[in-house]
Amino acid sequence: MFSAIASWATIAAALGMLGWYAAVQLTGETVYWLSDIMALTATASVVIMAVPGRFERFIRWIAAAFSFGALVLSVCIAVMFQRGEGLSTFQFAETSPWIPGLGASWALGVDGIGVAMELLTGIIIFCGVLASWRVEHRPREFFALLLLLVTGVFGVFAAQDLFLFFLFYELAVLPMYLLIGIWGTGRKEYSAMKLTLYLLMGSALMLVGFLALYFGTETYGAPGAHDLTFSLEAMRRTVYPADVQKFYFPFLFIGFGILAGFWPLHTWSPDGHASAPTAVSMLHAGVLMKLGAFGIIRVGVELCPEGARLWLPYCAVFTLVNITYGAFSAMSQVDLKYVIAYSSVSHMGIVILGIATLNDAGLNGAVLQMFSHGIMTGLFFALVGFTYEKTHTRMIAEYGGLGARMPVLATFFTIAGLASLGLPGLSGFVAELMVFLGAWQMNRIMCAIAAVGIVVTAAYVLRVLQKCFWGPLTNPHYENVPDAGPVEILCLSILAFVLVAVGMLPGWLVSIINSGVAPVLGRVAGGG
Amino acid sequence: MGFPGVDWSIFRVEGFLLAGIGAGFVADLARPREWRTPAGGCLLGGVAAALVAAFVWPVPDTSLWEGVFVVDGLARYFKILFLCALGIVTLASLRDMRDRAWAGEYYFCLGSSGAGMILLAGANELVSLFVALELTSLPLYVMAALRRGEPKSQEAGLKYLLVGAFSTAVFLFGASFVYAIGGSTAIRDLSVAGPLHAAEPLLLIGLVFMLAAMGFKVAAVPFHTWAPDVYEGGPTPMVAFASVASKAAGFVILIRLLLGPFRVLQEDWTLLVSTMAAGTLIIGSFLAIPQTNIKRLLAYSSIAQAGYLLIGFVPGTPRGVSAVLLFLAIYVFTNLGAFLSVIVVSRSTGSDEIAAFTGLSRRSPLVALAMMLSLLSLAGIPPLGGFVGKLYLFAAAMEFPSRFLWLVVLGVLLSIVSLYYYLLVIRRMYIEESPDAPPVDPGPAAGIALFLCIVGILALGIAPQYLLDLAMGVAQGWQ
Repeated sequence: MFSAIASWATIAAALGMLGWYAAVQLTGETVYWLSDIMALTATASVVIMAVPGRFERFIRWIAAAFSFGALVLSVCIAVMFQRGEGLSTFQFAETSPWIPGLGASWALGVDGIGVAMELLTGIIIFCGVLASWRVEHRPREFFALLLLLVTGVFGVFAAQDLFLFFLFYELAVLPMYLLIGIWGTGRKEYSAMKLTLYLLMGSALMLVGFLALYFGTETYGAPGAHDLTFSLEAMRRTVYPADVQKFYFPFLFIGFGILAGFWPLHTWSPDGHASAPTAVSMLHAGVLMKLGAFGIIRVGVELCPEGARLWLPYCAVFTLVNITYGAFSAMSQVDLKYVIAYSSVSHMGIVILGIATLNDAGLNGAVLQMFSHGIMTGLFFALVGFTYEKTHTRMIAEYGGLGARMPVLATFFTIAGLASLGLPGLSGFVAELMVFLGAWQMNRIMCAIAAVGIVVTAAYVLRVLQKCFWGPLTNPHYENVPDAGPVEILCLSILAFVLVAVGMLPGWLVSIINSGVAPVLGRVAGGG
Repeated sequence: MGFPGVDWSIFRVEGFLLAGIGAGFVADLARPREWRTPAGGCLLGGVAAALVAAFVWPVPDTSLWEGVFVVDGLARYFKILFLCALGIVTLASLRDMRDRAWAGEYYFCLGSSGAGMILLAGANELVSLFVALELTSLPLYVMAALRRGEPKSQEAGLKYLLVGAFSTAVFLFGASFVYAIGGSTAIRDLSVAGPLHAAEPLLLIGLVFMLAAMGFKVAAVPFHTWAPDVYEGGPTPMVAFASVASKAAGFVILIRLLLGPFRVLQEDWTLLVSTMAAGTLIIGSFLAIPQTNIKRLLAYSSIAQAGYLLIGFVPGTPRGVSAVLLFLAIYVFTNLGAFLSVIVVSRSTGSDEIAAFTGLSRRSPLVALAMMLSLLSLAGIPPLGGFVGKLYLFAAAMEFPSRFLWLVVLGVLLSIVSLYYYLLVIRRMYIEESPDAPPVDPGPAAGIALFLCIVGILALGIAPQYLLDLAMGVAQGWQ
């Protein structure tokens, strides 16, 4: 009785606050789009946690409704984002003081890169909730943690204050421990611990860099700025001496690089992604790894351009290992989910290579690849999850000719595979082409080595497709295996649609991305 | 009275607390045998009255008897901090002590130790400091041994007594050197008149001895060895109190001495303290990993926390002092939250093993949540209080990256090591399930205490501005 009252009171309070918040904005002058997205997902998390046990079956509908709202809002900001000469780089900006004693503020704002990532997150979380439709075990905690996590992800991409950035970063990483530990498969506890420790190790390193930048705002800040602040806006106006930039860039790069799957610090990722439940793999490989690459651009390259110019060429060499080693490892896996997990390592290598080129084509390509790979790997992990639900195995050897029994899944698998190997007309092609153009401008040998990875990717993708789906049905167990259901088809269709749309008409997204990339490159070039 | 001109009302905070302790003591003796002891309620009332007095009717800056006792920002801050700790521990003890034969003695000792700490906060002279320190420590030794008939408790009491007595002797020894050179025992005279000379080698000896004694109090390596045994053997509420309040008490003295008269030796003690900090961090973080007893694990974790505090303390700047003050206040809620969960769980299961926490998220969501938030806050995860505290400590050291960068890097990396063993406990509570284990019920008093800790951890993490201003004001005003 008491707990029921508490539940309903919590739900009423959460919804009431959301309604009040909406009313204030609708009657006021500005709409805080970025806060709104997070308010939606955070409210959803609280509401779901408070739903009484009898109504457990409605939880997924609540999650779907709220995450659909987040998707709509993120599409809205992408559509309303203005690009062109003379417009401010960071839009939808909002600032209010939070902890003045520390110089931390609630500052949000997105540039072209941030908008693309918010859109990606919106798509992936909605599809992730759809992909979790069949979660029966402790669904309340599952969806609450998932939406809490995605609140953090939305926050990181919008944060304009390093304190806030760090807070959201941890919020995006830590629920992962429970999500993998409770709902994962295989060596889930080992993988969960490994992933959490690796990623928080990264966050610890970048915290050192953050603190150095923080104290720099006082020492090297613009005239008149004598207060310590975590504000990114103030940091961009601060001229850090070259030796400071060079010294602290590795802290930032390695800190973020761990999350981005930078070789040799990537080992958490195949284990983590393979053990995680479907939606978490989608979100993690699709969005969270991008968060690392995003951080490298937003904090590393943008605030320490001198450091970036010194260190990134060396990092580029490592990314070649990422690309080729990831691809070869994917080739040798027997577990389908590990194939996808290693392909993420390989593709994230392309992203970091693109960043390391520090030129127009490379950096634009890197961000587009972040988006494209996010969608593509989300599609892959959703497919692996659905196939597993039906066949109860992920071993490639036990599949064979499944296409005859599940034509829908096989078709989508083919689309994802073709995007992965860079077929023209799908988003992966545009992105990878741009990165390779950039790499060619930087160093032709590197570009050639990286291209090996693409060839291997084609090999393992086709091998997997052929062994699992095409040809005659080899395993009699799967004589009557069902195909994808309506919710699953909806999830897959959204992702595949985005892949095709971006592949066919990349111009819109590229121009948004470029409006964010250009100022970053301007800082790198103008750094002296 | 023999002290003409003394306005006794400045002892109102102490007075209310002593009244509570005294009333409890008398009532415990006077009660009929079959009644439960009213001492806990009396103590709680005294603490509440003292807290209200400290907030509503704050004592102005005063210096009594030529600086033997002072009331300044630092003293006021720590008095409130000690009272909060005492109040929460008393609240959590009510149920745990309900049917213990020694409950009366327990509350008397707890209150006396708290009273000693409150005196300590204002003691500004070596002898009064010493007396207050003894009043703080002796009841703790007694409490550690209160679980009569349990060998571990006896061991804990004896060990604590011997090590504590030794550290007291070391403190006195060091103080005698300082007195010999400075010619006074009043800290004010030592620092204001400036008779201490950095060149004096005896002074350095005095410093080292006093630092070692404080190392015992805050459980810093290499003076930490008593902590795990005492934590394991002592009654859990007492351990909870000692883990936060005794540490805070050690830091009051460190601040008063090292940043007062020993400022002249800062070059020397910076090296000593930063080495101590590094050792404390390493030992505390790594030795916690193999522990299977939750109280031993928390003992090593609290050793590691002392290391973080020392990182903030080392630079000796107002920012560093305010970071230490802020962290200690957050630490009260964080560490008490963890210990209260242990009290509740071990009362229900009769076990202090980490295994007793298996499946706790199902058996008692409130206790599991409090434990998880406390552990994550100890690990320094935002948006919890521990993060703000740790960030501020690191920030204080990062102000001088050329000297303390290594310490900060060590600190952030070891906080990941500590996260590992905290996560092991969280895994027990949330990932593993144990359908057969009995449900855990904290009861109303401990429930309120747990709730206070959760609120404190969250509030200090999300909105620390008030406390930050307070700590900064104290640190700047004090210097």
